[in-house]
Amino acid sequence: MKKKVQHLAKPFFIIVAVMVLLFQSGCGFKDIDKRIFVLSIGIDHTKSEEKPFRVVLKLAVPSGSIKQSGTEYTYLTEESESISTAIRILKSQTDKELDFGHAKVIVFGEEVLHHELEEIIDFFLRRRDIQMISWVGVGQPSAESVLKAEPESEMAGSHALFNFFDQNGVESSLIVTSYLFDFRRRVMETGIDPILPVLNTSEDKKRIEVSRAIVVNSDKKPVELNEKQATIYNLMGNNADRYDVRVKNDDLNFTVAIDTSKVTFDINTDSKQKPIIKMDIEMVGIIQEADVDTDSSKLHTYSEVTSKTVKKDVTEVLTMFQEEGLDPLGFGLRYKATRLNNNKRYEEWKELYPKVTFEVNAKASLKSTGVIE
Amino acid sequence: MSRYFFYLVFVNMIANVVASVPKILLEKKSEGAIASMLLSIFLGLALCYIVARFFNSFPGKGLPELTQKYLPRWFANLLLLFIASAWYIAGLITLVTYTFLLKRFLTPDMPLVWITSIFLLFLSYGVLMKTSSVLYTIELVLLCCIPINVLIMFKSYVTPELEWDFISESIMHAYELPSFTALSASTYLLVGGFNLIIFNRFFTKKHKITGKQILFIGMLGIGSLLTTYFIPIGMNGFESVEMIAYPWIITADTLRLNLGVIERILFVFLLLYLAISFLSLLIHWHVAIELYKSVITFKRLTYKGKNLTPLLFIGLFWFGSIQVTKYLTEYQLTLYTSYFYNLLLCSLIGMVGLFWFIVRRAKS
Repeated sequence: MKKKVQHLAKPFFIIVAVMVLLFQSGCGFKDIDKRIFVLSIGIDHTKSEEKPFRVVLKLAVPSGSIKQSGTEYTYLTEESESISTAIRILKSQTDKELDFGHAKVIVFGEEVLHHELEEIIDFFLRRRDIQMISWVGVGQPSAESVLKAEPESEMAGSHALFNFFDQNGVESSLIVTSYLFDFRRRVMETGIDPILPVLNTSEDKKRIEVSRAIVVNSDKKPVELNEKQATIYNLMGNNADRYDVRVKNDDLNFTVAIDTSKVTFDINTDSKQKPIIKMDIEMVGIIQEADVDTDSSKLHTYSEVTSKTVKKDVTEVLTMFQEEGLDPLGFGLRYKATRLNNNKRYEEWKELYPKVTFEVNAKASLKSTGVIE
Repeated sequence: MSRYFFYLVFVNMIANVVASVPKILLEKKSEGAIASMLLSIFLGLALCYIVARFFNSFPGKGLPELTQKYLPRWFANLLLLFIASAWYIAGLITLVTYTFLLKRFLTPDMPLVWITSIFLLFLSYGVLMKTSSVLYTIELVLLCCIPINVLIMFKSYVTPELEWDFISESIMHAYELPSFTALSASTYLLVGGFNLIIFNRFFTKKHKITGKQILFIGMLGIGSLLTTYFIPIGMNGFESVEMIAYPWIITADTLRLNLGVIERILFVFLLLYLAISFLSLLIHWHVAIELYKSVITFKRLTYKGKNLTPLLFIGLFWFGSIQVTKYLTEYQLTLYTSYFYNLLLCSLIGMVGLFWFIVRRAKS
């Protein structure tokens, strides 16, 4: 009999060990129906000194069946002295736990950019549950209006703001994307300036438009890029392969659709008085639209004209960057990255940049005139 | 060499990401981190070769058997206790770092002591296993982990957001003189072979380490060092990267598997490193407990023919770990870790002297 008890000892201990796991049930884990998911976060700047931040959260309302209820969102808004206090107050306004794990878009009001960017992004970097791969943008007229806009094409389960930046939905050469980590490194580092897309809403809040961008230069001054400049920035930064060029020649007007492009640049500072930034652009594309009959045998001529147009456009944008002191492409960074460190490379670059001349070599090759000639 | 030797080396290489090696290296980024890394490859490989050659000539024997045979008894015991404590601390660093990580990222609502205890519960069982079982566990877990690890590394190199200009900017600091702290931290990657002091008991057959094998370890070592140091810089910038508390965790969060099962690699990464840091802990503490056992065994503490002294050590391990986890802050952890690596490197070089002495005694 005694032997039998000993035999049972081992299974007994195993069972006890397993039973102990039952006590482990509630390690602060909240069920999914006790959580509400934040989709996007908006930060606006109020004019007041005491409560400078206005935080807007867009929440997805859980519903039993999507077919019946459609998409529903709800919003929480609070003004406070800091973002985290605002969120603490907002927590008392919902019956569920606010979950930031799915917040993928952060929108800043334009006014925010005039303040210390480090301070504002600090909250998002310090918190563990905000994704570093969330997208950052600037809201016009305010972050709140962008968040509250509900485009008609928006379906249940697919947030329109996500689709703008996610390369699965729309792919447009006008949309500049900036991840939070990318924004952080551009803010923190010298020699490369932060660039953010501008999200613009119409009056009736039925439309969001993302076609422009804002660059914050090293003097913390935000400068807006228009549609064309944003597209060319995307081309130069190798962010988008697709790019449309409108060629206007004396007797020949056509539009080229570029489908592959590669842009490289390097900095030549052999003479300190006349530094040169050499940019090479290689593009392959087809003619998309023309107002005259095109001739396949003349593709070579068309390519040359296209190259010339691109060269002109790019040089214009680069000159504008230089005049405004913008550096979203990281010329200063490249300068530091190709010269041995002496702890004052960036100061050197700040003196050199206004003196730089741009040499743009564009080489477009058109492969076809499209389906018709 | 047997393949198990390579597992011991690899675990140290991969697990360094969770230990404070990247943090220490990034703090020294403009004080000669690159030169130190370069030096550490040679130093680490030399150490690896020496330890493998030494134990090749004593198949089936661990360091305790050798020291107790060829050295005065009291000196051997003192030495073994010292080495055992070093291995215990090495494991402790992994444990505390990973506990902090879990607390920060996966289970923020759980008390620190709880997290440590759950870790310790599984470890207590693991370290008491036979040496051979420990090695089999390592093989199995490592083989499951390596594909995911390779995927994440591959992804980090091909992601378009990786800014090579930042990496190149950091290379522009290559001319700076190496720093000892950075050297010892990066050598830590390559000293996994030293676990042979206990695990050699398993290698009873005659083995020989060849030049090709050292070259293979060297290639992997260079690869993991470069990845450890340069990828966080490429993703987070150069000038402000040392402000990040956990460089590699944030780096893992900057990677995005667009159409993957999980979009945020961070969580895959954390679970992967949970397994790997467990392995690293298992190895270090198995060595530590075997060393302690070889020095201190209470004959009286026997129950049904089994000696219970190891359980006593496990109890001490628990006590020590929980106290340390409660006491340390993140800043202190990195600071003390760097001190530990400095001390470890010196002791390992001292150990080479010991090897030389033992070989001479054995010959005469």
